Amino acid sequence: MQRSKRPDEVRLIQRLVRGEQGAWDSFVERFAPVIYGAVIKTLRRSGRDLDDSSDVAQDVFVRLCNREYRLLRRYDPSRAALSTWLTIISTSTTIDHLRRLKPVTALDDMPETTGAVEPLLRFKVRIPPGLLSPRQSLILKLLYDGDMDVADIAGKLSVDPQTVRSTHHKALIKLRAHFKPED
Amino acid sequence: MTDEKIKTTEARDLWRRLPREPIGRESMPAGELGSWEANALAAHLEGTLSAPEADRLEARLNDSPALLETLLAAGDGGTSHTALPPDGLIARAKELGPGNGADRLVSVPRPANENRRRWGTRIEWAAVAAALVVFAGVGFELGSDTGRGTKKIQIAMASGTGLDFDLEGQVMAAGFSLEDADDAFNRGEI
Repeated sequence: MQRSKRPDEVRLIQRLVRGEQGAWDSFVERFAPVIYGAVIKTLRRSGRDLDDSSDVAQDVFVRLCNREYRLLRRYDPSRAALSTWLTIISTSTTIDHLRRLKPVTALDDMPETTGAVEPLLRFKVRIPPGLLSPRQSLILKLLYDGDMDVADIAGKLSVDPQTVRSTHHKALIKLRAHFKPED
Repeated sequence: MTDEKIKTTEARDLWRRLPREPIGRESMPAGELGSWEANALAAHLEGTLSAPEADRLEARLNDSPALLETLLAAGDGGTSHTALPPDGLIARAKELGPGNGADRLVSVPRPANENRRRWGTRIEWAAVAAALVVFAGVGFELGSDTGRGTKKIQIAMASGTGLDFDLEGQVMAAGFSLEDADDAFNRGEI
């Protein structure tokens, strides 16, 4: 029923999967600005120059058409627009590219000047089972490892800023109890 | 201002007391996002994710730093940020399509290649192991022969017949049987 959403995007993917002549060219012309835009935005965000932008965007296209459009066939038009989905795929591909460029270092070896978001990619916090809810962990991680502010986090998680504050407050109560010395 | 109030040193210290482990590149395999993750992130960016799915996505974001980074980067400045691509990019991308040489790219199934590579590696290691066994066997045999030859030479020298290629003859001529000489050698008498 929801499949009737975005009919022209569905049709384009069907044409691609059928191997119809010209379908891939139409796809490239229509969505190259979205893919390229997501790639350069992610490169800029990481402080990299844009020398690799064409290669990374080309890598996105390779992934999309590889194995008879296997990745593209995973797109679910009932969930979001194809351009939004392609933004996710292009961003993820660019992050893979950036990860291949820089070696992973230990926390103690990291320079003070390392970008605020870097630790999110480099370390995983091992939270004892049942201590914090996924949302509580995520908010603490973004506040303290990602050095983000409440408004930013609320925007990224699509929640009210007050929800971020109250979640943070409840998480702290749990952490205090967890680390309280046993008397 | 309010943000600074909630981010206290105590709160930061408590969070930092939780154990953390570095994530090696090998533990975050590069490549495609899972099908569910990519669609859920896209729905999240458009604000259409259901509450149960949002919970599931938040749990996945905790487990996967790369997924979290994708959400943070993709969400910056709206859902879709377009830019005019260079002409060369569009031309190269079009070449990937059917009938433009991409058939080759598409028709090579990666898993089969990986299997073949994996089996190739196994065969190479098996060959190395077999070669080591053969070398060890040959070495042992050579070592044994050398030991036997040394004994015979010592027997021959002890009998005063000197070194000769016909050691057995020499030993027999000295009035020893080979077995007797061998036994004497093992007892340390010669």
